[in-house]
Amino acid sequence: MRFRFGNRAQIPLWEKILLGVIPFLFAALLYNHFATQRLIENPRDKVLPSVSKMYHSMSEFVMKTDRHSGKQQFFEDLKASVISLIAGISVAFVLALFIGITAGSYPLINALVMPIITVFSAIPPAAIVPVLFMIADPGYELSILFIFMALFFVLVKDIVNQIHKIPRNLNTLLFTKGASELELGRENLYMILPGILQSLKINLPLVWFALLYGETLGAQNGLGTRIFILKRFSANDIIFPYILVITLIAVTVFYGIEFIIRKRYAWYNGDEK
Amino acid sequence: MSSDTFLIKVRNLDVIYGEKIVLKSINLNIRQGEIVCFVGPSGAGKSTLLRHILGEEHPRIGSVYVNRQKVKGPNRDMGFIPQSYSLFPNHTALGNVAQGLYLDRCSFGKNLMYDFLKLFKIKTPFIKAIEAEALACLEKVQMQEHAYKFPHQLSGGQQQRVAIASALSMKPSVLLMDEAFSALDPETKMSIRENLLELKRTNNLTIIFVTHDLDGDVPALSTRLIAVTRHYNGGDHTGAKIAFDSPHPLANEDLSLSERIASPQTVAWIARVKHECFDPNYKQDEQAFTLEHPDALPQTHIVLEETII
Repeated sequence: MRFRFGNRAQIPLWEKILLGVIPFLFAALLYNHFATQRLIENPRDKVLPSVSKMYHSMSEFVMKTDRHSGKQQFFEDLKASVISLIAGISVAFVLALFIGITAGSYPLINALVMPIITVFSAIPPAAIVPVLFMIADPGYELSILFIFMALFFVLVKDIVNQIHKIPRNLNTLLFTKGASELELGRENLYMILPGILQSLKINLPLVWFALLYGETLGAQNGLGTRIFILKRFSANDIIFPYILVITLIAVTVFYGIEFIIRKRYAWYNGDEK
Repeated sequence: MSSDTFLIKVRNLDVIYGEKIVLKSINLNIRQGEIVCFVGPSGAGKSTLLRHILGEEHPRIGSVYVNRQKVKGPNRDMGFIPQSYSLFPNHTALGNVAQGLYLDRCSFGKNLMYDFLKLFKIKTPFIKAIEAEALACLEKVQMQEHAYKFPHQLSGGQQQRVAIASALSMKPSVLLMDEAFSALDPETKMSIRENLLELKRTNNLTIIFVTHDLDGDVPALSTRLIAVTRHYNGGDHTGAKIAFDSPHPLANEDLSLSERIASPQTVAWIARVKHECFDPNYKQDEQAFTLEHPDALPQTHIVLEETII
């Protein structure tokens, strides 16, 4: 019965955890197997460093300070990436909410804004890089711009879509309760907010790609910048832990949004029935 | 009698969607305190007429007046209970009722501030007062126990009760219901009907509702029945009209709901409605109007009275 197709029965938590851990264990074992084999063939192999090698190299790197700034490089990278991430997401989110709700609520503004949004969303951020370097010499701003481009257009389209999905009856009800158009926008925002957070959560991989790509091209500091620099020295013993750090932040943000949706907007998924 | 005694007036209303004529020359008077039932075949135009009275749709030809004011859009003077999506999914039952009270009494900025305070569960005396008032409204429909549940945690009947409380919290002069009870079981329907009649008695509310339940809602609740049916001229559909406008035979009797439904006079009245409005063999031409209510108006273009212009 449990293997029946389309079965939506709840799985016990311990079983869920166990099943979830198996693929990670398998991947770790697989890595260890290949890394050991390569190290037996060549003890100085840099492609698949051993776990202990990665641990020691990373511990050293974290404690190491930059000769010029006197600051710890790892934390400077971490700070730069997190700031770019927060700035890019915040600007894209706030602007998308404003434009999306307005375009979703007023057909005239929709007709004015949506064609250009659709066309601009089709431009790959990488294609405008040479132009940007000609106009200015962007640094960390490039990653913020890339995150903005990766998120803004998708969110605007999603917000417009969600606004259009709000049943007409609810807006009529708001007017019968004495709501103004501004109040209507506010109430609509509250109704679509969990959906927008969901959309943000789904688009996080795009955001990470934009951040790292932007950093490799322009920034002085950042997790992406460091990976790009370390690649020249084939320093996988530090690159892999860096990737792990990026993954940990990404997972934290993902589950953070998930937590907010579940805790604050329990009604959205019909929880607590 | 002066036309000013009517709470709702519909004059020469034509509704045309593209090439399709939906309603033609609708004229209607409704007094305060009446419970008017709109019935008719599916797609005839009952809900369209209701939504024009509500102001959700604007007539290109004709006018609708409520409280002597031309209706320009839905406003707080009119309560509305639709068949579905009658509650806001992001608010609890209490929140749904309180929402109108906040909108009515606070500016946009103040509402934002209260939203912020509610986010951190901070309750000012004003918030407490609004919540107490909303809870009192829920008590009237016996929903106080479910005040902190979200709509998805309530049954269909409970949701409609909250919708009634939410609409009545605004103290509207008219309550419009669009097949509001169609998804409910008979027992729940009966209990909501009793709720509604009690609220109507205490507030002298005018209720207009669209229904298909000729054997339940109409005999139990209405004081007047209006049937909107399609009309044909030489085989061509010329738009729906009010073909039947009749007072409930027991409108002024103080009877229980079940007595009203089971009374032989009501049964005969409903049988006549079914025959004249729903029997395909009954000829619905220009001569088929049964406008026996004292306030009924001819369903042709009429000259507007000066008093309402």
